[in-house]
Amino acid sequence: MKKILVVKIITAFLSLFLATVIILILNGLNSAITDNQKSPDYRIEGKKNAKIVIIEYSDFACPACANMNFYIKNLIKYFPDDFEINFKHFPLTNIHPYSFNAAVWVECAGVEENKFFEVGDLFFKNQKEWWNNKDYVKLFEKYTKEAGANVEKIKKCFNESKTVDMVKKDIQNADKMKLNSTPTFFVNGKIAVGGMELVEAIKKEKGK
Amino acid sequence: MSFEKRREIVSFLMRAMVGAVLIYSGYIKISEPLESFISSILSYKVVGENIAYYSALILPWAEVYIGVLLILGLFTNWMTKAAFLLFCFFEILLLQAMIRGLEVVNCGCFGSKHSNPIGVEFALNLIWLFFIFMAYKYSYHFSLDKFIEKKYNSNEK
Repeated sequence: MKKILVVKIITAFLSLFLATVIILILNGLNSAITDNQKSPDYRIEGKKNAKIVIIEYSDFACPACANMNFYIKNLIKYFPDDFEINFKHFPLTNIHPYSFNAAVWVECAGVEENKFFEVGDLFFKNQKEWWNNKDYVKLFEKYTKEAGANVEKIKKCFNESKTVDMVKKDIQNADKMKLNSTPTFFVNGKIAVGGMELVEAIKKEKGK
Repeated sequence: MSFEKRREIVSFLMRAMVGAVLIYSGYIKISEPLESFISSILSYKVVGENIAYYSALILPWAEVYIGVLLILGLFTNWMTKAAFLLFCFFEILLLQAMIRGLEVVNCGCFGSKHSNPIGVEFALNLIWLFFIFMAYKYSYHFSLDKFIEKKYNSNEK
């Protein structure tokens, strides 16, 4: 009876060890992915060609992205010469029904009024209000006005779907790299999934 | 084929399905940012940040390990009980969120990219609980437990 138990324990230990190794290898494969393509100028914050270039795949309706947006603003505020942040769209529409439209709208604010971050920050700040609200367009208008951008111009751009392809291009890039969550960052080309990994990656790059 | 034999096969398939679901959901969470899962846990408004942090670290691996052992059929009795408790725990979380009318943006069941409304998840979990019950009762014949016990018992004889 004892022997049976020992054999079972050893078999279980070996199979769990193997499962752990497989999962760690699969996760490690993701770290080989890289993205160095920069965003359009109106979607770049910080100092151009700074020592640390961060590419951020984000979704205006994702709570973790809203938290990270606050963190990134502070990075730029306290280390204005050290970072270049490139924003890229990755709306997770299967769980955030209006996030694609939000991305298209904010993109319009960037293209038409060069107020991508002014409007985008308000989208993050008021995320809980609009993310699942059928009257989201009215709220988008409100935030746009609050940001001091021309609402009519942006609304026209949105209704004509002028920026849809730009948002789709980012999503296609993200899909090609098999990204599956937001926020995902590339710090000097190296992937960092989520805020904790971002902080670690920044520490590494700063130490170089 | 007798009814008992068919029931054993179906129960084994049910056990394997529950195992696969646990492995998949655990793996997705492990590969995603820790804070995504933490924010999902916090949205149920049951535990504080510290517990949410440690739960987000431990729970995905627990799901994977229980899933692997369920599929292999090792310690099947214990693992089906563990899976049953785990799903009951999920059900309680979902139920209290529904009763309190909490706004759970993402249930956290399959990472941040896939999420069903909590009512749907609650119903799905009932099906998994039934599968686990069947696996507990009838799936022993297709397990490593039986294979090992049979082998070493016959050796002893």
